[in-house]
Order: sequence, then C-alpha cells, then structure tokens
Amino acid sequence: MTRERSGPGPSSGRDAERTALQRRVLLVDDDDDFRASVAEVLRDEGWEVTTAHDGEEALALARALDEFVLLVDYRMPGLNGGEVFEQMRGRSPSRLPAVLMTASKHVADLAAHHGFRHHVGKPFSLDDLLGTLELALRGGEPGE
Amino acid sequence: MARSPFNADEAREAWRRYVSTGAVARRLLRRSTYHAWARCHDLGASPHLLKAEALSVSDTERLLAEQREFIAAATPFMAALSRAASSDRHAAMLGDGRGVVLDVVGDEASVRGPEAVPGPGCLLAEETAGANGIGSPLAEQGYVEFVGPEHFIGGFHPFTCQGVPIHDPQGRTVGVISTSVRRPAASQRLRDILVCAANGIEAELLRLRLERDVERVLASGSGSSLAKLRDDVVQTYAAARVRLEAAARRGPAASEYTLALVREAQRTIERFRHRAALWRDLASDELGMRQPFRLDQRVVEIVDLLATDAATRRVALVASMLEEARVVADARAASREIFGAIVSALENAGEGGSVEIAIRLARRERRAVVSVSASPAPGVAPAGPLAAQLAYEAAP
Repeated sequence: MTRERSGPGPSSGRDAERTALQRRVLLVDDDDDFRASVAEVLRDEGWEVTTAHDGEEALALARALDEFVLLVDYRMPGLNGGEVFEQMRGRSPSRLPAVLMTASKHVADLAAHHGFRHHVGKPFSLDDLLGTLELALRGGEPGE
Repeated sequence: MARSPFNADEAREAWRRYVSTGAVARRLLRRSTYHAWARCHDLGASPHLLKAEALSVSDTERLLAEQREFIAAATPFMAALSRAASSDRHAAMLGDGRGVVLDVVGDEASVRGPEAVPGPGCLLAEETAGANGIGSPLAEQGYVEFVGPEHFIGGFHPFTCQGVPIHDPQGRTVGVISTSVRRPAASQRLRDILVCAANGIEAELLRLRLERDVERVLASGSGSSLAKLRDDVVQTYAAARVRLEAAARRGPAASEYTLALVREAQRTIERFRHRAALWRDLASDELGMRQPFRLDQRVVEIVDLLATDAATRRVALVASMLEEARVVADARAASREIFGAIVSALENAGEGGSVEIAIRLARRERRAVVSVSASPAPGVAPAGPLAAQLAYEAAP
C-alpha cells in the first residue's frame, strides 16, 4: 500500500472548479509497474493518489477516505474491479465516481454490467485517462 | 575515411563542394551521412530542391485512407514525441514504407507556417528528396540523424532530423517515424524517446494483430482461457505505453529520470513482444520444425504468462523443480501441450488449490518429463484428473 499526499501539481490552480472538488483518486491495479507509473503521472497532474494492489486492500483503504474517484482495473486476483465498485457503492450513501480500466475488448459491456459510467480501455493515452478522471470527478457524462 | 563527430563548418563545406563540383567529400562528413549522400548521388537526387515534391491531392487522400490503421496506431506515439520536443519549434513526422509523409504533428509554424516541414503526400524517399529523416532511415534500415547542412537538399538545412524505421509483426518495413527540430543539434533524450516511440508503434501493430487473432481463436470455440491471457499480455504493453508517455511529459530538466523511464518502457515493450510471441504460438494450430530448445525456459515462460490467470482463479501455481533440460521437439506443439495440461490442472485444482510443475531429466531413456500435478483445497473434490505427464526427447 502506498499513500502519499503531494503538493499542488502543475495543473492545479488552473481551474477553480477543479480545486473546489477533491482531486483524490483511489487507484487499484494488481500490476505493480503499471500502478506505480499511473500513480506518478496522476501526482504530477495534481491528484492526491492512494493505491491498492487488489480489491480487498482497496475496500479497507476506502473506509478512511472522504471523497475520491475510484480508478480500478477489472481483472485482478480476488475481487474483480466490478465487484470492488459494487461493494464500495453498497457501503457509501453518497455518489461514488468511478472509472473502470481493462485490457478486455469488452470494456464497455463490462462497465455497463457493473454500473460504471466511465471506462478506459488499456492501453490508453494519459490524456484520455486524465480527461475521463476529470469528467468522473465533475459528474459529467462520457462524450461531454 | 569519413569523420565521426558532427562538425557544422565541415558539413557546410561538404555541401558547398557537392553543389559546385558534384563530388562527395568523404573526409568532411560523418560516416552515415557520407553513405546517404553517396546513395543520393547515385540515385540522381538534386541538392538544389527548395522543397519536397508531393503526390496529387487525390493520390494523397487515397494513400491516407489506405494507411488509416497505421496512422491511427502511430497517433498516440506521434503526440508523445511532439510533447517531448515541445520546447522547440518542431515536428513529429510519420512516413509510409516508401518514404511518403502520412502525418505531421508539431507547433503551428512548423506544421502550417511559411517554412513548414513537408506535409502529408510529400515524397521524401532519398531518390527524390536526398538524405533526410524519413527517406534515409528506410534506406539505412536503422536510426539516422542529419544536422543542418548534412541534409542533401538546401531547403532542409534549417532542421535537425532524426528518424527510425517501423516494422510490422512479420518484420516487414511498413513506415518510419522522425522528428525535425529547428536548431542545430538534437538531444539524446529526444532520440531515446523517438526510438522508444518506433518500438511502441510496432507494439501497437502487434496488439492489433493479437486482437484479430483472438477473434479467430474465439470463433473456433477453442479458447476463452486464451482470450483472457491476451488481456494479460496487452496489460504488459499498457504499462510500457504509460511509461513512454510519462517520459514525454517530463521536460529536459528531468533528463536522467526521463531516460530511466524510457529504458524501462523499452524493456517492457520487449517483454510484451516476447509474451505476445508465446501467446501466438499457443493460439496457433500450425506445426513448427523439430528443433532443439530449452524446455525448462519454455515452461517458465508459460507459467509467467499464466500467473495472473492462476491468481484470479485463486490457485497457487508453483514451478520450483525444473531441471535444466534441452530437448528436440516442435516447440510450438510442445508449448500448446504444456499450456493445455497446466490450464486443465488449474481448473481441476479449483479455488484454494495448487498446481505444481516439475521437469525431470531421465538421462538413460534420453527423455525429459514435464509433470503437472493439481491439488484441490482440503475437503474439496477434484473436478478432474490430478496429474499429467508429458515426455520429450532429450537433445544429445
């Protein structure tokens, strides 16, 4: 588990709307290299990042976080990303913005099946990922 | 003898001499530049051109339509390359296998200004445009750099260009990616990102091929396991791409860290290629040649490929007793047999169980035996046979 709070990144402060919302993400992926690389980019972009390597760890960490965007891989040991989201949503009375990531060709179907409004197919461009996270944070709809 | 480090005055003098006498001044040029100029001279290219020739508008449109998939595969890497060079006036360029420009990304002045780099449809093969960052990597079949007057035609002298050819999964040259910056030097950082971007495009072409393969595998009804494994293989590539893009986002100030990221991305792309090749062997029904290979190494690779699958099934997959074994067999067919045995064992062990793989060398019988044994969790009935053995002829 890694939990770090970083100072304002290059993008923070650009947009009043962004700073008004908590730019905090819970990143869940069992691939250590992938998770570390994405976490670093998100921190550079001003996100506060908490990481977990599987669903169980993510559920435990989520209890201590106020508001966050869940960014979760689908195919992981133990709970899959859809199950992680369903369990978190069941516990939380408030809105839980979430983005599903997967290398599966059926990313849109998997996202719809588990109730995700946002998804990114692996491999993705970082611009796509950052845009999708911002959209999820603001409660926007895909394609906006 | 050609000179090694770049010297601007000597290169300028070499160009002046060539234009006035038609002689290639070997001693004044770097080796790769000399070879490129000699080729251009033999091909009859003119150094007096001020700009590149181009296809007609309709031929360009037809070419871009034909190359749509290749251009799309390259797009994220072109963007990363442009981002990496963004402090300079620059352009990232993509060419096809004949040196025709397909796409250009860069700052407004470099792409659309009065002194813009050649755009889509321009012919940059050496025979028409001389030594340049698109045509010469294709001719040279490798990385090429030209600084200012090292370009064969005068119109390109304001630029420093670097290019690398791109190959498809069959190893055929299908294109080239290059950068042009408007200053008399190119950075090591940009060069490393360029080479990594070329490898990234090749990896993307391989990913697209895996996508088509997986459709074939699913249509044949033989492999939902293989389809999931394909996702695990692509995950490796996804990690490489994040690293490359992260490197491209970092400015020149963080150069050491950037180079480490690029190197790591390169290693991950190599791992992706290796895993993809193994996956394609497993998904193929083709037979290969009987030839010697290291059975223990192949088993390790298959186990590595199945690691995520085993973890998601919650089955421990252990390959600890692997004797070094060189065998003579059809490596593809053997891989498929071993893969099938391990997947069956994972299914039969079930959640909470374990699968153990061992290789024993029976020297007297000149055989190597792969044993795959499944152990269900305590109290759980096995779903099928718990052991399989596969024997292969040991290499002399």
